[in-house]
Amino acid sequence: MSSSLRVRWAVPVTSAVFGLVYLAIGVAHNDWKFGLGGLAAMLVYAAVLLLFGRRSEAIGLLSGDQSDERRMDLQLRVAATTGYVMIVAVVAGAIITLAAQSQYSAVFAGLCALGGASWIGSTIWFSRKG
Amino acid sequence: MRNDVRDRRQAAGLSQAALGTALGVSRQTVNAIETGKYDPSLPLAIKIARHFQTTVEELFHVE
Repeated sequence: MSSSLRVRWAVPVTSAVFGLVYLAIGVAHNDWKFGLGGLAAMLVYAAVLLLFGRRSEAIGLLSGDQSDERRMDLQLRVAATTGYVMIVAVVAGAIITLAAQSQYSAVFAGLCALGGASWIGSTIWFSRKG
Repeated sequence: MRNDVRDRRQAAGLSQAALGTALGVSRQTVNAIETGKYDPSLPLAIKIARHFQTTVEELFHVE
């Protein structure tokens, strides 16, 4: 299998696998609506990626296309933007849950610690790597 | 960064897709370079310049 074909199928197949995981969780908890709904959503997403990945650059990027330097750059910017959104959400969640003395404050604090460690570690790694 | 890639491509009678194939990039990437939305890396800029048998300085203009 060529690498471009592997890339084209990697995300759709992963999506389908996640759909099956949703189904398994739904079956395990006797929640068929959740299981079948999750499976259907992930299969539709996988089908859209496969059917339109070559026609639309954005959908191709969602399929993990990194076939040239601009697309790799776009993927990095997409990942960075998503990372920033997640940082804001996790920090806001930590502040809110700490202020409310919620039982979930430890979860958000743990995610903040993981994010901080990842930020510091990757800064050191990439600064040394050049 | 302004560039003359579109003029050179059209003068050579090439489509964006054909130039993209020759350079190993997508048609959309050629379009993004031509419209100044994307500045290519130095290796790609050199590749484009070599393709049109010119220099990077002749092809790309820092404003």
